[in-house]
Amino acid sequence: MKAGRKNKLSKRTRKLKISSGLYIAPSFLGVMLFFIIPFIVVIYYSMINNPISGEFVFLQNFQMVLKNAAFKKAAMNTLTFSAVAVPLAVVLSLMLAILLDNKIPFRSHFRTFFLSPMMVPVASIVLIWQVLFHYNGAVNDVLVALGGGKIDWMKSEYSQIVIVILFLWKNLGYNMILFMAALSSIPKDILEVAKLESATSVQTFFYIKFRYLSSTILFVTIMSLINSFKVFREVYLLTGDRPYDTLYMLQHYMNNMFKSLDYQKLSAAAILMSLVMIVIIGILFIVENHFGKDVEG
Amino acid sequence: MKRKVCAWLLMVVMILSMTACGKGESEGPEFVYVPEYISLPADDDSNVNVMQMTDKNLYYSVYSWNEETMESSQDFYSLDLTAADAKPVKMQLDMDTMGDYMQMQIDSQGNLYLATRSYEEITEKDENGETYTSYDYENAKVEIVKFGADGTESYRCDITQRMKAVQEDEYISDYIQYMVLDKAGNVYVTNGDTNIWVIGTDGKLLCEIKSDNWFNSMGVSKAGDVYISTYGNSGQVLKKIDLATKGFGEELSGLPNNFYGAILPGTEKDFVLQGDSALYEYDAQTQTYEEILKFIDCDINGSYVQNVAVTQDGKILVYYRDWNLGTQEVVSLVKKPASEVSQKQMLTLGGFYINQDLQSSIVKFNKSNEEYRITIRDYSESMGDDENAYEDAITLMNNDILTGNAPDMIYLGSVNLQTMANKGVIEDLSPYLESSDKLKREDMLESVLKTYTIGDTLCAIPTSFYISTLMSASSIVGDEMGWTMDEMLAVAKSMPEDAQLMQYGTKDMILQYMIIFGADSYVNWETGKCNFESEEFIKLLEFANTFPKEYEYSEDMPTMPEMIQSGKLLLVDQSISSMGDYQIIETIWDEPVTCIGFPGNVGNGAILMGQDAIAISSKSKHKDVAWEFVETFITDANAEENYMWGFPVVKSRLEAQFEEAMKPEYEIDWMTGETLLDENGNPVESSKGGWGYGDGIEFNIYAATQEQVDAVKELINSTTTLYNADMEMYNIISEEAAFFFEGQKSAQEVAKTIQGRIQVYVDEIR
Repeated sequence: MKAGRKNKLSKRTRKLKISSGLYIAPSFLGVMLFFIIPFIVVIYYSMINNPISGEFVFLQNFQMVLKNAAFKKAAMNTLTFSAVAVPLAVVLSLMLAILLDNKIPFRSHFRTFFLSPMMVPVASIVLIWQVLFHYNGAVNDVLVALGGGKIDWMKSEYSQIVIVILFLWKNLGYNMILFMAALSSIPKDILEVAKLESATSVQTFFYIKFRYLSSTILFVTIMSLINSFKVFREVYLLTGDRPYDTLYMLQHYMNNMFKSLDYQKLSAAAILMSLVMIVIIGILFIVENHFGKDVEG
Repeated sequence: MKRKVCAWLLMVVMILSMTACGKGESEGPEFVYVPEYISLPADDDSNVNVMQMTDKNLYYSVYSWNEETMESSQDFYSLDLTAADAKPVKMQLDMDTMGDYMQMQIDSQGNLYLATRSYEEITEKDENGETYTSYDYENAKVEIVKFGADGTESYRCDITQRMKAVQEDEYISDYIQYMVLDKAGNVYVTNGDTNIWVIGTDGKLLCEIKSDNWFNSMGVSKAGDVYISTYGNSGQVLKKIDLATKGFGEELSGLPNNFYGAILPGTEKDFVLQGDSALYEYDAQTQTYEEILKFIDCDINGSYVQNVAVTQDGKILVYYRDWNLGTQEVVSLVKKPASEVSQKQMLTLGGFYINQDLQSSIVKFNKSNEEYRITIRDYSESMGDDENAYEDAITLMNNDILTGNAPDMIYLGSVNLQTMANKGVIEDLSPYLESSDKLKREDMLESVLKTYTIGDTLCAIPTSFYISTLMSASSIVGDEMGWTMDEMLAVAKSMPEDAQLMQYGTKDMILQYMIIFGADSYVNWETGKCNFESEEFIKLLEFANTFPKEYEYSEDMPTMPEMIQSGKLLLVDQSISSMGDYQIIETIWDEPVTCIGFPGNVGNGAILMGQDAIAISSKSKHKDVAWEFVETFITDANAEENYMWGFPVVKSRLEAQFEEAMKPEYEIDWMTGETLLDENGNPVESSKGGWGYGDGIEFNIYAATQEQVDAVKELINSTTTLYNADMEMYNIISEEAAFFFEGQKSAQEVAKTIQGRIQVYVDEIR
């Protein structure tokens, strides 16, 4: 009897699994078609010598890409930019969120002010930046008026600073809103208990708020990291296919490889970049898990 | 149960939708147009003038010259296209005026409309005082004449004064470019400028309509309304002529990119539009078009099409004239299901701006080959007017190559050969050349073959070529070809202050020449090292900066020969495509010259520009057939009887060209046919060509000397650099150099920026 019941249960489980599978099949097929299969195609392209002859060369393309001076420069620039811009984006937006969490005058006006860059189209942003930071632009006019010399902002070592400012201007508002939402979800009773037990604001922040914010910090960091790669769009519109070498990003390299039919180098570079991203995000998840384990589940 | 059914339904929908996404096997067209040839009667082959076709008849005029009476005349004929073995019938028209017939139209009642240009007879005296009859060609009378179906004149409308009234300068364009009839029988004429004159059914001028832009064409829609094609804000548009407002009404866009020809009434849709290489049907409601046929697929060279008509039953009549062969035909294209027509295997020739000679060769191949035919994929036809059009078209071609849809043959006119060769796209022609019966490697110029060899791959063989170089007097630059930037600057410094390095030299032009033709001096492609922060490059920038930003033209400025002869010009940029191009420079300088070339550290400084080079795709399934076509194309182009521009690639033809250039020609008395002699009894040598510069300045060349021929031979044999302008590099340099030229940055700062940007570019492509 028990065996019969067991059989019935396993039959039912099997049927359930099949019908569930059927329901998720359309989504799964879509993901296969638009993500997994193209990724497999990219892996294939990265392991052949060229799309015309299709000769298998295994890791030769990866070796060529890793030795290529243009790729190394692009990787270094991208890494530098992300290493500077992402922490700044997280820290500054968190500070702004904490500030605006308090009841300060014109709080909603400040919130709108920081959110408004999100609504501005990219072409307009690029136009504004060109007007400001062109060699004959407004910023240089001010510098000259103050007795200084002109700086070629987009074609010198200062170019990354300009792009970091652009990135922060565009993304601080969004990150700030996420942090504000996270701050408002921290249980008030815990904060009151901390206050009653004479905890300082710094202690409250680091021992309580920071733990509750850990998942949001992870999310904001990942989003900022992704957005730091997307800044290529503005850089491309500002400076074209081949910018000054400090602005030459990984996507410039991949774009130009596509245009010159170098699909194998393009694919190899894309896979290398995705591997690095997987490692970074993996580390972030581990860190978050450590700091946020008390508050989750 | 319900959930299961829903899930299954969703699955089926997903799978079905994906099966529609695949590329699948490319199915051929459903219908094809089969040509049936109608030759014009032999005695009317030449001098056929204006022509018009309707559903059933061909109308044309023939110009003839009477040797005895020394008079010309034009006769009109009609030919029944529906009857086999039809003979042309001379039309009896009541005409008594001498003149040209510029345009012709026939309406459904058989009335004939002519745009005529006639001249008044005048009496003139020759140098001996004898009077003779001539015609006042400077004051033509332009009239629109209508003849009834019985040949009697119905009306004659003189529009000469109206045409003169709209001309702004002294020259009066009295040629009627287009003439069409609307459904009411009104006649619309234009001289192709911006004015249209409309003549009513009573023969009186109805109105004059002015456009803001030039017309490209004028024609009639299916509904019988008259439209012009002109340029709007974003490309070509069709504009309907509105007689009520004496202006333009509806504007239609979405026209094919390569539409430059006739506007014809459609049968199913509103219009049939003639492009360079195809016919299209255009729907005015949706403002979209669809290709009906490609001329090349009907064995017609689209460049030679003179006239097209569409019959009510869907047949297409094409009249075309091959000026090279001196033949003309009317081709009736009959639409048939593809399944009823035996299909040949297809090869594709892809490229940009495929010229008419190549199209003629393709037509000849298609007509003669039983098993294969070639079609054209001209990527320039997809180019619009925006600044990225060319890049987009190149991307289209690259995508075709990478997705396995590469053309079997690639016309190298505007294509970057280096990139193609590096990607393994191109087949090595060496084995084909070695086993060829028609072409032998030893019969061809080795320097040209070497120029087109990249790595170990012989990529293509041009039919002909020319060489671009800088020339100067040997007394100034020495006898040896090739020099460095420093040597050029040293020579330039030694010249008088008011002397110019090159005529029309500007900052950008000098920079362009030196970079495009001398880039190898600053980039070591083997090591990948760039050298734009070097003294040499900074000197180049400073040197280019000594030239004006724009060249100020003035009417009284000296001509090139005047500047050379007064020692005010150092270099001449010359494209040498024949002995004459070399000789004229030497004649102007009146002393031996040297092809010194563009300054740089590589080669003789000259660049070879090949013509009509065709590469074979390494992925083609019909490489042997492709080679057969290429081989025939090169052989035919180099045949003795064919005219060729440029130096031929076949040695024997080149030698024959040199021999011809060295053969002297003598003055002949046209009356007696005897050679003219000078006071010493020697024959008077006549010029083999003349070049005019400005008012009355003319230089003539005579038979080439052995020294001159040897100099050109040495130039050809030592030139192994193919023109492959790296515009990317030039664009970066030009963009940055502008700051230096404007005085905003120093040469060193600009050089540093250029070094950074181009180093990245070079690193990418290594």
